Amino acid sequence: MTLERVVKVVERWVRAYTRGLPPSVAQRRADELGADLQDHIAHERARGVSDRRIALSILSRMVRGLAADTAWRAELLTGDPMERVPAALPPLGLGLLVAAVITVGVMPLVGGGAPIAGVVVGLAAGLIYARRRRASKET
Amino acid sequence: MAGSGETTFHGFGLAKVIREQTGSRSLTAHGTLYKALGRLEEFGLLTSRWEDPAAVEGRPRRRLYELTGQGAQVARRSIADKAARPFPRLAPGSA
Repeated sequence: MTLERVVKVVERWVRAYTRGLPPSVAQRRADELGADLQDHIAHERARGVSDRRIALSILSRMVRGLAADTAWRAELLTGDPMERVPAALPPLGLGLLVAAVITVGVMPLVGGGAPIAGVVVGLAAGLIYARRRRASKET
Repeated sequence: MAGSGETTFHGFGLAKVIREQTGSRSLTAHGTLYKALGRLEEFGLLTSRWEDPAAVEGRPRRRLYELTGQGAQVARRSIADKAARPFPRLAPGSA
């Protein structure tokens, strides 16, 4: 996956998790992320980092932030970060999203790999997320 | 970013500084970073504004953050607490 395509994946994800939020809030997040991506690319290119590694780094930042993004969305919708996370993004949905990102985005960057590996990692992410949510509800 | 002399900062700049100061190989995740900045703003510790369009030179304008008086006070207290209770650090290869 090229750097340009990775940027598009991030932009699509931002559109997905800001859908239904007040337009000013959604626009601010999209604009702020857009500036961040440009700064990230410019900074790493100036350091001589290859586009392939920059793409991987951007994907990594997106994937590691998925839970925070969905919690932020849920909080804006309901004022409670945990209650409405299932409505914002269920564990299976998160798992499938992670699986898709890994299979389509990360595997080609790190030299291929069976698509099933992406699915397994994605489902594991969904399970971990579901467990953490359950633990958070119990406390 | 305390001590750098800059009064404003932006999201990616902060992620970069965190990476340098922690010695991490990766930058803070987008979701974690912007959620935290939003939360600090809600608490009144930061204010933010869009960068002046005249200063952007063809790139997307950045959201600039600045510590409020209360934020600066909290930051100073946090730095003082950290200095008073240093965590023991193991140098690489010292084990």
